[in-house]
Amino acid sequence: MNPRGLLAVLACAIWSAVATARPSPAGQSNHGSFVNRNDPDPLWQKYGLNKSDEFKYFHEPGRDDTLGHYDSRFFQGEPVPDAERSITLTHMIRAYLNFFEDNGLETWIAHGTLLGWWWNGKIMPWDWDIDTQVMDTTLFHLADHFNQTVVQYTTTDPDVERRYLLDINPWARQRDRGMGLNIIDARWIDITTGLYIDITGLSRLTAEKPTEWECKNGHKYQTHDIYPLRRSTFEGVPAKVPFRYDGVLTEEYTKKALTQTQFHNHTWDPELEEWVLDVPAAMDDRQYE
Amino acid sequence: MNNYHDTESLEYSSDTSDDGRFSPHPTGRIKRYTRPLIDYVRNEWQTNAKYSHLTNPDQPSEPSRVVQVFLSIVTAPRFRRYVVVYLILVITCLLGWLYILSPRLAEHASLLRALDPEVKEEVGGWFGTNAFPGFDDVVQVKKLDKELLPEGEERLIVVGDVQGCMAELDRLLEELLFDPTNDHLIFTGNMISQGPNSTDVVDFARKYSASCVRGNNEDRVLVMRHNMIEAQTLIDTSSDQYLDGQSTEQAKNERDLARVLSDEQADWLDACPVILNVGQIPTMGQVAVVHGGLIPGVDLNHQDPYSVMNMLTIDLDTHMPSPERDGMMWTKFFNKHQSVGYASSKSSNKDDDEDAGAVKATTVIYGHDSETALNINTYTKGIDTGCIAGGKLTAFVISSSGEQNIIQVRCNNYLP
Repeated sequence: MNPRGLLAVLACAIWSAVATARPSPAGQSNHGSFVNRNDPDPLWQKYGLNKSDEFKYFHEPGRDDTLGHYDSRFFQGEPVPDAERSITLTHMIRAYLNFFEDNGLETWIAHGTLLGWWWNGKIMPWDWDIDTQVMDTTLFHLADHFNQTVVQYTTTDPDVERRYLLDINPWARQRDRGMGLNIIDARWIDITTGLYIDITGLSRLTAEKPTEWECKNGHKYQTHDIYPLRRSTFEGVPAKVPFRYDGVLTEEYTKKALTQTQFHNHTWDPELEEWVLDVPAAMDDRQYE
Repeated sequence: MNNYHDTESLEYSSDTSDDGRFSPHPTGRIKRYTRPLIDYVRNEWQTNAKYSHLTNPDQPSEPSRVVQVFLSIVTAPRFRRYVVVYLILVITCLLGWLYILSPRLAEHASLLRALDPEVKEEVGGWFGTNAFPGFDDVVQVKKLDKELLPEGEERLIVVGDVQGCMAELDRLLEELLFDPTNDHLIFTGNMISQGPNSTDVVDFARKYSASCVRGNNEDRVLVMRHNMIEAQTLIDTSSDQYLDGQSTEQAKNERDLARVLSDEQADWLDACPVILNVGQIPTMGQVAVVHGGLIPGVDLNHQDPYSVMNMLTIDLDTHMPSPERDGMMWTKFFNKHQSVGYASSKSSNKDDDEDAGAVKATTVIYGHDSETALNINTYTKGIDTGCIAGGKLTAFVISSSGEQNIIQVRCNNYLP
């Protein structure tokens, strides 16, 4: 980690204590109004960002399945071993969901994470990142009040102590896709490893379709697909999921994603209620013969 | 004499109309010739150009005779009658095959294929093997108290989607001679929403300690209510303006209903399970009450709650249900699954008593599908008959012997 980053993180840590102590925004509605293109550009007014000069805010050390899921600023030079990665992701989503719950912030799990929830309420063993969604109003609220918060996370196990950075992309104010460099609106980053949760916001971009919500990556939802959010459990902590979870999942991943019992060298074991890594028996035999 | 002549000519004409060979009398016209007929022959066909095209006599007119015979057959009135009859028969058969028999056979084959374990391997798995994490505030399965199963004069009365039509519910129970001491009421969900008296229906059901299942209407309203309590908008309506802009009319009505429900009413509705396991009923086997339907072959605890409350059709490859109407109706698949399972369990248990198979079979009583209306099959009993839209309100009455009756009353149309 470079010294400047460390300094920033420390400064934030002090500030975070103040931020989290704020009363939860009870009256704050979590539902957005339309994006009006004629309004003064908050990007320019608030951050001095010029739309035609969009630059990528979040960086990863690589683009493949492994390196593409670390934040460059906190990457330690080597990917984390599988077992540790899995534990890190589990703690990370628990800390995230607890933090949002404690602060009265609305969020729900999405994409591959939602699929993992559907199968057994857990992160799928081959899933590299965690995805959550928020409405744009929540996103702006995060940007205004919680940006750069560092959250301390402890469990009953004294060995587990982690810190997470909530980092809102300055380009999050730009609700259309723009140049496509900043489709992730915010990140919840594990400071020790650089692994992260992708947070994307949903907005209504067309006045003719008042019930249609979009993320910057082209996923579209109707209000009644998402709302009212259902309360469930993910990795042992309370989590919210879209109301019409079946439809949301099959539209993104097809029916087979909910029925096929073999994925990425893992087989679903209905007795264990777990995805079990396939033992490459045939290959082993060949090697030893 | 005149009279005689008339009858003579009548006979004559009737003869020729049939077949000349059987004519009993020589005709009057022929009698006029005084010389043998051969004297009148002139061989005109050899000279007259009119007949020249027929006069290539090397190939004697074998084909033309065939044609003549054919024509005579075709023009015979009896033949024409038969042609019409056979043609109608063939067309009926063809249409019957095309539109009734062939689709049925294809449906039968596709249903059987959908139940084939080998196909399961092929498609990679069937819906319902997951370990669904479940929802807070949603009860998946509840078992009906054994005490409530009908004995003697007692009855189970399962009522279809009421949707707030209190007046119709009253009339239906009047029609049934409802006796609270002997009868137990079960509602198939969607007791509330859209109709004029949703809360009255809930109070009525609470008063008689009725059983119920969670319908898609209850589901939406109740989940919404929990969210509103959390966001403190159950009483405070200041954020409604915001929400209205992004909601459908239906969502607005549901929000109003969520506010109208008292805590007691909402708690009572929240306790309605997604699946009510009624238990064993004579002649019906295991009985379950749900709002939408059940996925065959998946046990009650592993049924996907959204599907149970919303399904109309089912995908035959993956067994994944859908709330959309186009596709194979889930009831057809369910009945096939049960009957195949029943047959196989019967044949494997030949030495055991006859009821062994019946115990395994499940009968589902459901609502939700008002478009198909009353839909009674061996293992599925659909009793939503669209009361809210001016259809009927239906009760499915089960007596202690397992005898089943359907009682209906007409409804007003409450839809705008």
